Amino acid sequence: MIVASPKSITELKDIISAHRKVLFVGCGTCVSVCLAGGEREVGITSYAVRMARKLDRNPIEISQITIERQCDNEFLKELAEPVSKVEAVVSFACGAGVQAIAERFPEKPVYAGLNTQFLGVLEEQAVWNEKCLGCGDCVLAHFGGICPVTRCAKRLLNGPCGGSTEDHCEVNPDRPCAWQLIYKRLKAIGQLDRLEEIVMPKDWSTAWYGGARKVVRKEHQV
Amino acid sequence: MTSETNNFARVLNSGRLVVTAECLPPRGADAVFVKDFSKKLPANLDAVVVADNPDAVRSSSFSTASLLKRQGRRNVIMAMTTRDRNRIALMSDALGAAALDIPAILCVAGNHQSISICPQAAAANDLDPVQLIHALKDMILHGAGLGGDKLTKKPGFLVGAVAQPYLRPMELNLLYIRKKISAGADFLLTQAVFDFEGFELWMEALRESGLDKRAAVIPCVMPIADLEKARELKRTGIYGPIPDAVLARIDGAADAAAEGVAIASEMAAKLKSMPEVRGIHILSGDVPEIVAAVIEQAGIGAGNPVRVP
Repeated sequence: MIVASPKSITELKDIISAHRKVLFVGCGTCVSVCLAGGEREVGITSYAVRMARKLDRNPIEISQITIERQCDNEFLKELAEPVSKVEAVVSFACGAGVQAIAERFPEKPVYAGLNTQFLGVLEEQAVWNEKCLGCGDCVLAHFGGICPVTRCAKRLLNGPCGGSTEDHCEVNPDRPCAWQLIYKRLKAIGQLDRLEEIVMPKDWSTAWYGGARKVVRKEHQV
Repeated sequence: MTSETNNFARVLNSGRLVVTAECLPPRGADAVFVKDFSKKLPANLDAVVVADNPDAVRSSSFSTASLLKRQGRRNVIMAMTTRDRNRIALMSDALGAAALDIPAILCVAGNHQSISICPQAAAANDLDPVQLIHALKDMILHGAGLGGDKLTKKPGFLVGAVAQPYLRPMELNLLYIRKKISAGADFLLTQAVFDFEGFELWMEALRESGLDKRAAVIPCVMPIADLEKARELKRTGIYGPIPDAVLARIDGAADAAAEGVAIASEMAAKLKSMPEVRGIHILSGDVPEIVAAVIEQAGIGAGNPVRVP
Protein backbone atom coordinates (compact mmCIF):
# COMPACT_ATOMS: atom_id res chain seq x y z
CA MET A 1 0.00 0.00 0.00
CA ILE A 2 0.92 3.67 -0.21
CA VAL A 3 2.30 4.75 3.15
CA ALA A 4 2.02 8.36 4.29
CA SER A 5 2.62 10.29 7.49
CA PRO A 6 0.89 13.40 8.84
CA LYS A 7 2.36 16.87 8.45
CA SER A 8 2.88 18.65 11.76
CA ILE A 9 0.08 20.86 13.04
CA THR A 10 2.50 23.80 12.87
CA GLU A 11 3.19 23.27 9.18
CA LEU A 12 -0.44 22.62 8.37
CA LYS A 13 -1.51 25.74 10.23
CA ASP A 14 1.06 27.74 8.28
CA ILE A 15 -0.12 26.35 4.91
CA ILE A 16 -3.74 27.41 5.49
CA SER A 17 -3.09 30.54 7.53
CA ALA A 18 -4.78 32.80 4.94
CA HIS A 19 -8.07 30.84 4.94
CA ARG A 20 -10.96 30.99 7.39
CA LYS A 21 -13.23 28.31 5.99
CA VAL A 22 -11.59 25.05 4.95
CA LEU A 23 -12.66 21.50 4.06
CA PHE A 24 -10.51 18.61 5.31
CA VAL A 25 -10.90 15.57 3.05
CA GLY A 26 -9.87 12.12 4.28
CA CYS A 27 -9.27 9.10 2.06
CA GLY A 28 -10.68 5.71 2.95
CA THR A 29 -8.06 3.55 1.24
CA CYS A 30 -4.26 3.28 1.79
CA VAL A 31 -3.84 6.25 4.12
CA SER A 32 -6.71 5.06 6.34
CA VAL A 33 -5.00 1.69 6.72
CA CYS A 34 -1.69 3.34 7.58
CA LEU A 35 -3.39 5.55 10.17
CA ALA A 36 -2.49 8.84 8.51
CA GLY A 37 -5.43 10.25 6.55
CA GLY A 38 -8.61 8.34 7.35
CA GLU A 39 -11.77 9.63 9.03
CA ARG A 40 -10.30 9.28 12.52
CA GLU A 41 -7.06 11.16 11.73
CA VAL A 42 -8.89 13.92 9.87
CA GLY A 43 -11.13 14.38 12.93
CA ILE A 44 -8.21 14.62 15.34
CA THR A 45 -6.22 16.93 13.05
CA SER A 46 -9.09 19.33 12.43
CA TYR A 47 -9.71 19.54 16.18
CA ALA A 48 -6.03 20.35 16.77
CA VAL A 49 -5.90 22.98 14.02
CA ARG A 50 -9.13 24.58 15.28
CA MET A 51 -7.68 24.80 18.79
CA ALA A 52 -4.38 26.23 17.56
CA ARG A 53 -6.09 28.88 15.48
CA LYS A 54 -8.31 29.80 18.40
CA LEU A 55 -5.25 30.30 20.59
CA ASP A 56 -3.82 32.50 17.82
CA ARG A 57 -7.05 34.57 17.98
CA ASN A 58 -7.59 33.73 14.33
CA PRO A 59 -10.46 31.20 14.42
CA ILE A 60 -11.08 28.87 11.52
CA GLU A 61 -14.13 26.92 10.44
CA ILE A 62 -13.22 23.40 9.37
CA SER A 63 -15.67 20.93 7.86
CA GLN A 64 -14.71 17.28 7.28
CA ILE A 65 -15.53 14.50 4.88
CA THR A 66 -13.85 11.19 4.13
CA ILE A 67 -14.43 9.53 0.77
CA GLU A 68 -13.65 6.00 -0.37
CA ARG A 69 -10.76 6.84 -2.75
CA GLN A 70 -9.48 10.28 -3.72
CA CYS A 71 -7.50 8.89 -6.68
CA ASP A 72 -10.71 7.70 -8.36
CA ASN A 73 -12.87 10.26 -10.19
CA GLU A 74 -15.97 8.25 -9.42
CA PHE A 75 -15.73 9.08 -5.72
CA LEU A 76 -14.78 12.76 -6.22
CA LYS A 77 -18.33 13.58 -7.35
CA GLU A 78 -19.58 13.65 -3.77
CA LEU A 79 -17.11 16.46 -2.97
CA ALA A 80 -18.81 18.99 -5.30
CA GLU A 81 -21.20 20.38 -2.75
CA PRO A 82 -18.94 20.56 0.35
CA VAL A 83 -16.09 22.05 -1.73
CA SER A 84 -18.39 24.77 -3.07
CA LYS A 85 -18.96 26.02 0.50
CA VAL A 86 -15.30 26.59 1.50
CA GLU A 87 -12.35 28.79 0.58
CA ALA A 88 -9.85 25.95 0.37
CA VAL A 89 -9.40 22.18 0.65
CA VAL A 90 -6.83 20.14 2.55
CA SER A 91 -6.54 16.63 1.18
CA PHE A 92 -5.36 13.91 3.54
CA ALA A 93 -4.62 11.48 0.72
CA CYS A 94 -1.37 10.53 -0.98
CA GLY A 95 0.05 13.00 -3.51
CA ALA A 96 -2.06 11.39 -6.24
CA GLY A 97 -5.28 12.07 -4.32
CA VAL A 98 -4.32 15.68 -3.64
CA GLN A 99 -3.67 16.29 -7.33
CA ALA A 100 -6.85 14.52 -8.38
CA ILE A 101 -8.90 16.90 -6.22
CA ALA A 102 -6.94 19.93 -7.47
CA GLU A 103 -7.68 18.93 -11.06
CA ARG A 104 -11.32 18.32 -10.32
CA PHE A 105 -11.75 21.76 -8.68
CA PRO A 106 -9.51 24.10 -10.69
CA GLU A 107 -10.89 27.23 -9.04
CA LYS A 108 -10.16 26.13 -5.47
CA PRO A 109 -6.82 26.08 -3.59
CA VAL A 110 -6.03 22.45 -2.64
CA TYR A 111 -3.26 21.60 -0.15
CA ALA A 112 -1.62 18.38 1.02
CA GLY A 113 -2.15 17.41 4.66
CA LEU A 114 0.21 14.42 4.56
CA ASN A 115 3.72 13.60 3.44
CA THR A 116 3.47 10.69 1.03
CA GLN A 117 6.28 8.28 1.86
CA PHE A 118 6.46 5.06 -0.13
CA LEU A 119 5.00 1.74 -1.27
CA GLY A 120 5.39 -0.45 1.74
CA VAL A 121 4.26 -3.07 4.17
CA LEU A 122 3.00 -2.97 7.75
CA GLU A 123 5.49 -5.19 9.55
CA GLU A 124 4.52 -4.65 13.16
CA GLN A 125 2.02 -2.44 14.97
CA ALA A 126 2.51 1.11 13.60
CA VAL A 127 5.73 0.27 11.72
CA TRP A 128 5.84 0.36 7.94
CA ASN A 129 8.79 -0.48 5.71
CA GLU A 130 9.44 0.53 2.13
CA LYS A 131 9.52 -2.34 -0.35
CA CYS A 132 8.93 -1.03 -3.85
CA LEU A 133 10.09 2.00 -5.82
CA GLY A 134 7.76 1.43 -8.75
CA CYS A 135 10.59 1.26 -11.30
CA GLY A 136 8.29 -0.04 -14.04
CA ASP A 137 10.35 -3.14 -14.82
CA CYS A 138 10.23 -5.58 -11.92
CA VAL A 139 13.45 -7.48 -11.27
CA LEU A 140 12.35 -9.39 -8.15
CA ALA A 141 12.65 -12.73 -9.97
CA HIS A 142 16.45 -12.38 -9.99
CA PHE A 143 16.78 -11.59 -6.32
CA GLY A 144 14.68 -14.13 -4.49
CA GLY A 145 11.82 -11.69 -4.09
CA ILE A 146 13.87 -9.03 -2.26
CA CYS A 147 14.27 -5.77 -4.14
CA PRO A 148 17.80 -4.30 -4.18
CA VAL A 149 16.59 -1.33 -6.25
CA THR A 150 14.50 -0.23 -3.27
CA ARG A 151 16.16 -1.81 -0.28
CA CYS A 152 19.90 -1.37 -0.97
CA ALA A 153 20.81 2.22 -0.05
CA LYS A 154 23.38 2.25 -2.87
CA ARG A 155 21.02 0.50 -5.27
CA LEU A 156 23.65 -2.18 -5.95
CA LEU A 157 22.32 -4.86 -8.30
CA ASN A 158 25.28 -7.24 -8.19
CA GLY A 159 26.25 -7.67 -4.56
CA PRO A 160 26.77 -6.05 -1.17
CA CYS A 161 28.92 -2.98 -0.51
CA GLY A 162 31.92 -3.04 1.79
CA GLY A 163 29.84 -1.71 4.66
CA SER A 164 27.47 -4.68 4.69
CA THR A 165 27.32 -6.75 7.85
CA GLU A 166 25.27 -9.82 8.61
CA ASP A 167 23.16 -7.75 11.01
CA HIS A 168 22.49 -4.48 9.31
CA CYS A 169 22.93 -1.86 6.60
CA GLU A 170 25.86 0.52 7.08
CA VAL A 171 23.71 3.52 6.29
CA ASN A 172 21.02 2.75 8.87
CA PRO A 173 21.63 0.21 11.64
CA ASP A 174 17.85 -0.21 12.08
CA ARG A 175 17.65 -1.86 8.70
CA PRO A 176 18.94 -5.21 7.51
CA CYS A 177 21.38 -5.30 4.58
CA ALA A 178 19.25 -6.18 1.54
CA TRP A 179 22.13 -8.17 0.06
CA GLN A 180 22.48 -10.36 3.12
CA LEU A 181 18.74 -11.05 2.86
CA ILE A 182 19.01 -11.79 -0.87
CA TYR A 183 21.91 -14.16 -0.27
CA LYS A 184 20.09 -16.04 2.51
CA ARG A 185 16.87 -16.24 0.54
CA LEU A 186 18.48 -17.46 -2.71
CA LYS A 187 20.39 -20.05 -0.74
CA ALA A 188 17.21 -21.21 0.99
CA ILE A 189 15.34 -21.66 -2.30
CA GLY A 190 18.26 -23.33 -4.06
CA GLN A 191 18.93 -20.46 -6.47
CA LEU A 192 22.32 -19.21 -5.30
CA ASP A 193 23.61 -19.66 -8.85
CA ARG A 194 21.68 -16.52 -9.74
CA LEU A 195 24.35 -14.57 -7.86
CA GLU A 196 26.95 -15.78 -10.37
CA GLU A 197 25.25 -13.92 -13.20
CA ILE A 198 26.27 -10.33 -13.86
CA VAL A 199 23.13 -8.23 -13.71
CA MET A 200 23.42 -5.77 -16.58
CA PRO A 201 22.67 -2.04 -16.20
CA LYS A 202 19.01 -1.42 -15.58
CA ASP A 203 16.96 0.43 -18.17
CA TRP A 204 15.76 3.36 -16.09
CA SER A 205 13.60 4.73 -18.89
CA THR A 206 10.71 2.68 -17.47
CA ALA A 207 11.14 4.42 -14.12
CA TRP A 208 10.41 8.04 -13.36
CA TYR A 209 13.51 9.24 -15.24
CA GLY A 210 11.57 9.55 -18.47
CA GLY A 211 9.15 11.95 -16.79
CA ALA A 212 5.73 11.18 -15.32
CA ARG A 213 4.51 7.84 -16.64
CA LYS A 214 1.21 6.75 -18.07
CA VAL A 215 -0.36 3.31 -18.23
CA VAL A 216 -2.85 2.65 -21.02
CA ARG A 217 -4.51 -0.76 -21.19
CA LYS A 218 -6.22 -0.83 -24.55
CA GLU A 219 -8.03 -4.09 -23.84
CA HIS A 220 -9.91 -2.41 -21.04
CA GLN A 221 -10.71 0.84 -22.83
CA VAL A 222 -14.26 1.51 -23.99
CA MET B 1 48.21 4.88 -24.53
CA THR B 2 47.08 1.42 -25.57
CA SER B 3 46.88 -1.75 -23.51
CA GLU B 4 50.37 -2.61 -24.81
CA THR B 5 51.99 0.67 -23.81
CA ASN B 6 50.29 0.87 -20.39
CA ASN B 7 53.18 1.24 -17.96
CA PHE B 8 51.17 0.32 -14.86
CA ALA B 9 49.98 -2.86 -16.59
CA ARG B 10 53.59 -3.72 -17.36
CA VAL B 11 54.69 -3.15 -13.76
CA LEU B 12 51.74 -5.12 -12.39
CA ASN B 13 52.47 -8.02 -14.70
CA SER B 14 56.23 -7.96 -14.11
CA GLY B 15 55.78 -10.02 -11.00
CA ARG B 16 57.46 -7.40 -8.83
CA LEU B 17 55.60 -6.24 -5.71
CA VAL B 18 53.96 -2.94 -6.65
CA VAL B 19 53.73 -0.10 -4.15
CA THR B 20 51.01 2.49 -4.54
CA ALA B 21 49.68 5.33 -2.40
CA GLU B 22 46.50 7.31 -2.13
CA CYS B 23 46.10 10.99 -2.90
CA LEU B 24 43.16 12.78 -1.29
CA PRO B 25 42.33 15.80 -3.47
CA PRO B 26 42.25 19.21 -1.78
CA ARG B 27 39.13 20.67 -0.20
CA GLY B 28 39.60 23.86 -2.17
CA ALA B 29 40.50 25.15 -5.63
CA ASP B 30 44.11 24.45 -4.84
CA ALA B 31 46.60 23.36 -7.49
CA VAL B 32 49.52 24.19 -5.19
CA PHE B 33 48.26 21.64 -2.65
CA VAL B 34 48.46 18.90 -5.29
CA LYS B 35 51.94 20.05 -6.33
CA ASP B 36 53.17 19.93 -2.72
CA PHE B 37 51.43 16.62 -2.10
CA SER B 38 53.19 15.08 -5.08
CA LYS B 39 56.59 16.44 -3.98
CA LYS B 40 56.17 14.84 -0.55
CA LEU B 41 55.36 11.40 -1.99
CA PRO B 42 58.26 9.10 -2.89
CA ALA B 43 59.30 9.63 -6.51
CA ASN B 44 59.43 5.94 -7.38
CA LEU B 45 55.91 4.88 -6.37
CA ASP B 46 54.43 2.51 -8.91
CA ALA B 47 51.21 4.51 -8.94
CA VAL B 48 49.25 7.18 -7.11
CA VAL B 49 45.55 6.45 -6.68
CA VAL B 50 43.39 9.57 -6.59
CA ALA B 51 40.32 9.21 -4.38
CA ASP B 52 36.90 10.40 -5.51
CA ASN B 53 35.13 12.38 -2.76
CA PRO B 54 35.58 9.59 -0.19
CA ASP B 55 34.76 11.57 2.92
CA ALA B 56 33.76 15.10 1.88
CA VAL B 57 33.34 17.22 -1.20
CA ARG B 58 36.86 17.58 -2.49
CA SER B 59 38.35 18.75 -5.76
CA SER B 60 37.59 16.30 -8.57
CA SER B 61 39.63 13.13 -8.96
CA PHE B 62 39.86 13.89 -12.68
CA SER B 63 41.49 17.30 -12.27
CA THR B 64 43.72 16.13 -9.41
CA ALA B 65 44.92 13.21 -11.52
CA SER B 66 45.68 15.61 -14.33
CA LEU B 67 47.61 17.94 -11.98
CA LEU B 68 49.61 14.99 -10.65
CA LYS B 69 50.55 14.04 -14.20
CA ARG B 70 51.78 17.59 -14.74
CA GLN B 71 54.05 17.00 -11.75
CA GLY B 72 55.68 14.21 -13.72
CA ARG B 73 53.82 11.38 -12.00
CA ARG B 74 53.72 8.66 -14.61
CA ASN B 75 51.08 6.31 -13.26
CA VAL B 76 48.11 8.13 -11.83
CA ILE B 77 45.08 5.94 -11.19
CA MET B 78 41.70 7.58 -10.94
CA ALA B 79 38.93 6.33 -8.66
CA MET B 80 35.39 6.82 -9.93
CA THR B 81 32.33 6.38 -7.74
CA THR B 82 29.06 5.20 -9.20
CA ARG B 83 27.45 7.39 -6.56
CA ASP B 84 28.27 10.72 -8.17
CA ARG B 85 28.05 10.08 -11.90
CA ASN B 86 25.40 8.50 -14.04
CA ARG B 87 26.45 6.20 -16.89
CA ILE B 88 26.79 9.11 -19.30
CA ALA B 89 29.26 10.95 -17.05
CA LEU B 90 31.11 7.73 -16.11
CA MET B 91 31.74 6.77 -19.73
CA SER B 92 32.59 10.30 -20.75
CA ASP B 93 35.08 10.77 -17.88
CA ALA B 94 36.60 7.36 -18.58
CA LEU B 95 37.24 8.32 -22.21
CA GLY B 96 38.72 11.63 -21.08
CA ALA B 97 40.93 9.84 -18.57
CA ALA B 98 42.16 7.47 -21.26
CA ALA B 99 43.05 10.42 -23.47
CA LEU B 100 45.12 11.78 -20.55
CA ASP B 101 46.96 8.43 -20.35
CA ILE B 102 45.45 7.42 -17.02
CA PRO B 103 46.68 3.82 -16.76
CA ALA B 104 43.88 2.47 -14.59
CA ILE B 105 40.42 3.33 -13.29
CA LEU B 106 39.32 2.10 -9.90
CA CYS B 107 35.59 1.38 -9.86
CA VAL B 108 33.99 2.07 -6.49
CA ALA B 109 30.45 2.48 -5.21
CA GLY B 110 31.59 5.26 -2.87
CA ASN B 111 30.61 5.79 0.73
CA HIS B 112 26.95 6.53 1.06
CA GLN B 113 26.39 10.28 0.78
CA SER B 114 24.58 10.32 4.12
CA ILE B 115 27.75 9.18 5.89
CA SER B 116 29.68 12.41 6.44
CA ILE B 117 29.52 13.78 2.88
CA CYS B 118 26.16 15.38 2.14
CA PRO B 119 23.00 13.73 3.50
CA GLN B 120 20.73 15.96 1.39
CA ALA B 121 22.27 14.89 -1.93
CA ALA B 122 20.57 12.59 -4.42
CA ALA B 123 22.99 9.90 -5.56
CA ALA B 124 23.27 8.81 -9.20
CA ASN B 125 23.60 5.04 -8.56
CA ASP B 126 22.73 4.50 -12.22
CA LEU B 127 25.34 1.75 -12.64
CA ASP B 128 26.85 -0.27 -9.83
CA PRO B 129 30.60 -1.00 -9.68
CA VAL B 130 30.24 -4.41 -11.39
CA GLN B 131 28.29 -2.84 -14.22
CA LEU B 132 30.89 -0.07 -14.50
CA ILE B 133 33.74 -2.61 -14.62
CA HIS B 134 31.87 -4.49 -17.34
CA ALA B 135 31.14 -1.34 -19.35
CA LEU B 136 34.77 -0.16 -19.16
CA LYS B 137 36.01 -3.58 -20.23
CA ASP B 138 33.60 -3.47 -23.15
CA MET B 139 35.22 -0.21 -24.25
CA ILE B 140 38.74 -1.62 -23.90
CA LEU B 141 38.14 -4.96 -25.61
CA HIS B 142 35.49 -4.12 -28.18
CA GLY B 143 35.59 -0.36 -28.54
CA ALA B 144 31.95 -0.35 -27.53
CA GLY B 145 30.57 2.78 -25.90
CA LEU B 146 27.22 3.32 -24.24
CA GLY B 147 24.39 1.56 -26.02
CA GLY B 148 26.84 -0.17 -28.37
CA ASP B 149 28.15 3.00 -30.08
CA LYS B 150 31.50 2.38 -31.73
CA LEU B 151 34.37 4.36 -30.19
CA THR B 152 36.82 6.07 -32.55
CA LYS B 153 39.66 4.80 -30.34
CA LYS B 154 39.73 2.12 -27.65
CA PRO B 155 41.00 3.11 -24.18
CA GLY B 156 44.01 1.22 -22.85
CA PHE B 157 43.55 1.50 -19.10
CA LEU B 158 43.30 -1.33 -16.60
CA VAL B 159 40.18 -1.73 -14.53
CA GLY B 160 40.39 -2.00 -10.77
CA ALA B 161 37.82 -3.08 -8.22
CA VAL B 162 37.57 -2.77 -4.46
CA ALA B 163 37.48 -5.88 -2.27
CA GLN B 164 36.35 -6.08 1.35
CA PRO B 165 38.26 -8.95 3.01
CA TYR B 166 36.05 -8.81 6.07
CA LEU B 167 32.67 -9.12 4.38
CA ARG B 168 30.95 -12.22 5.73
CA PRO B 169 29.60 -14.81 5.05
CA MET B 170 32.70 -15.83 3.10
CA GLU B 171 30.57 -17.53 0.44
CA LEU B 172 28.87 -14.20 -0.34
CA ASN B 173 32.24 -12.42 -0.31
CA LEU B 174 33.67 -14.86 -2.87
CA LEU B 175 30.56 -14.74 -5.07
CA TYR B 176 30.93 -10.98 -5.29
CA ILE B 177 34.71 -11.04 -5.94
CA ARG B 178 34.21 -13.67 -8.64
CA LYS B 179 31.59 -11.46 -10.24
CA LYS B 180 33.88 -8.42 -10.21
CA ILE B 181 36.64 -10.48 -11.81
CA SER B 182 34.29 -12.01 -14.39
CA ALA B 183 33.11 -8.50 -15.25
CA GLY B 184 36.72 -7.62 -16.03
CA ALA B 185 38.58 -6.40 -12.92
CA ASP B 186 42.34 -6.66 -13.49
CA PHE B 187 43.26 -5.88 -9.91
CA LEU B 188 41.59 -5.78 -6.50
CA LEU B 189 42.43 -3.06 -4.04
CA THR B 190 41.31 -4.11 -0.56
CA GLN B 191 40.02 -2.07 2.32
CA ALA B 192 42.68 -1.27 4.92
CA VAL B 193 43.91 -4.33 6.81
CA PHE B 194 44.26 -4.28 10.58
CA ASP B 195 43.15 -7.80 11.47
CA PHE B 196 45.77 -10.04 9.85
CA GLU B 197 44.09 -13.34 10.82
CA GLY B 198 40.84 -12.25 9.17
CA PHE B 199 42.77 -11.26 6.06
CA GLU B 200 44.57 -14.62 5.97
CA LEU B 201 41.23 -16.43 6.13
CA TRP B 202 39.99 -14.42 3.17
CA MET B 203 43.19 -14.96 1.19
CA GLU B 204 42.98 -18.68 1.86
CA ALA B 205 39.43 -18.68 0.49
CA LEU B 206 40.57 -16.74 -2.60
CA ARG B 207 43.41 -19.20 -3.12
CA GLU B 208 41.15 -22.23 -2.79
CA SER B 209 38.81 -20.83 -5.41
CA GLY B 210 41.69 -19.76 -7.68
CA LEU B 211 40.56 -16.14 -7.64
CA ASP B 212 43.98 -14.84 -6.56
CA LYS B 213 45.30 -15.97 -9.96
CA ARG B 214 42.60 -14.17 -11.92
CA ALA B 215 43.20 -10.64 -10.58
CA ALA B 216 46.13 -9.01 -8.78
CA VAL B 217 45.35 -8.63 -5.09
CA ILE B 218 46.74 -5.41 -3.61
CA PRO B 219 45.96 -5.08 0.10
CA CYS B 220 45.90 -1.71 1.72
CA VAL B 221 47.44 -0.41 4.94
CA MET B 222 46.53 2.76 6.76
CA PRO B 223 48.53 4.54 9.46
CA ILE B 224 46.15 5.62 12.22
CA ALA B 225 46.81 9.22 13.29
CA ASP B 226 45.45 9.15 16.84
CA LEU B 227 43.35 7.30 19.40
CA GLU B 228 40.19 9.08 18.31
CA LYS B 229 40.58 7.79 14.74
CA ALA B 230 41.34 4.28 16.05
CA ARG B 231 38.16 4.32 18.13
CA GLU B 232 36.13 5.58 15.19
CA LEU B 233 37.41 2.77 12.96
CA LYS B 234 36.60 0.24 15.63
CA ARG B 235 33.10 1.66 16.09
CA THR B 236 32.21 1.91 12.39
CA GLY B 237 33.94 -1.32 11.39
CA ILE B 238 34.54 -0.05 7.84
CA TYR B 239 37.94 -1.75 7.77
CA GLY B 240 36.79 -4.87 9.56
CA PRO B 241 37.71 -5.65 13.15
CA ILE B 242 40.34 -3.40 14.78
CA PRO B 243 42.28 -5.57 17.25
CA ASP B 244 42.42 -4.28 20.84
CA ALA B 245 46.23 -4.45 20.62
CA VAL B 246 46.16 -1.70 17.98
CA LEU B 247 44.16 0.60 20.24
CA ALA B 248 46.40 -0.21 23.20
CA ARG B 249 49.55 0.62 21.22
CA ILE B 250 48.17 3.92 19.93
CA ASP B 251 46.92 4.79 23.42
CA GLY B 252 50.21 3.96 25.12
CA ALA B 253 52.49 5.66 22.60
CA ALA B 254 54.26 8.95 23.30
CA ASP B 255 53.81 9.79 19.60
CA ALA B 256 50.51 8.25 18.44
CA ALA B 257 51.01 9.15 14.78
CA ALA B 258 54.47 7.52 14.70
CA GLU B 259 53.00 4.44 16.34
CA GLY B 260 50.28 4.39 13.67
CA VAL B 261 52.98 4.38 10.99
CA ALA B 262 54.81 1.57 12.82
CA ILE B 263 51.63 -0.55 13.02
CA ALA B 264 50.86 -0.01 9.33
CA SER B 265 54.48 -0.81 8.40
CA GLU B 266 54.47 -4.06 10.37
CA MET B 267 51.24 -5.01 8.63
CA ALA B 268 52.70 -4.14 5.21
CA ALA B 269 55.74 -6.36 5.96
CA LYS B 270 53.46 -9.26 6.95
CA LEU B 271 51.27 -8.82 3.88
CA LYS B 272 54.33 -8.66 1.63
CA SER B 273 55.39 -12.08 2.86
CA MET B 274 52.18 -13.66 1.52
CA PRO B 275 52.92 -15.12 -1.92
CA GLU B 276 49.50 -14.13 -3.33
CA VAL B 277 49.94 -10.46 -2.50
CA ARG B 278 50.92 -8.55 -5.66
CA GLY B 279 51.33 -5.13 -4.14
CA ILE B 280 50.77 -2.84 -1.17
CA HIS B 281 48.61 0.25 -1.25
CA ILE B 282 49.19 2.92 1.39
CA LEU B 283 46.36 5.20 2.50
CA SER B 284 48.10 8.44 3.35
CA GLY B 285 45.11 10.58 4.28
CA ASP B 286 46.15 14.21 4.15
CA VAL B 287 49.73 13.35 5.21
CA PRO B 288 51.82 12.34 2.18
CA GLU B 289 55.03 12.16 4.27
CA ILE B 290 53.92 8.94 5.96
CA VAL B 291 54.08 7.02 2.67
CA ALA B 292 57.89 7.14 2.56
CA ALA B 293 58.02 6.20 6.26
CA VAL B 294 55.85 3.10 5.75
CA ILE B 295 57.85 2.02 2.69
CA GLU B 296 61.10 2.31 4.61
CA GLN B 297 59.94 0.65 7.82
CA ALA B 298 58.17 -2.17 5.98
CA GLY B 299 61.09 -2.76 3.63
CA ILE B 300 58.95 -2.57 0.54
CA GLY B 301 61.13 -0.18 -1.45
CA ALA B 302 63.41 -1.05 -4.33
CA GLY B 303 64.57 -4.63 -4.69
CA ASN B 304 61.26 -6.24 -3.83
CA PRO B 305 61.15 -9.90 -4.65
CA VAL B 306 59.87 -10.83 -8.07
CA ARG B 307 56.79 -12.97 -7.95
CA VAL B 308 55.28 -14.85 -10.80
CA PRO B 309 51.73 -13.68 -11.44
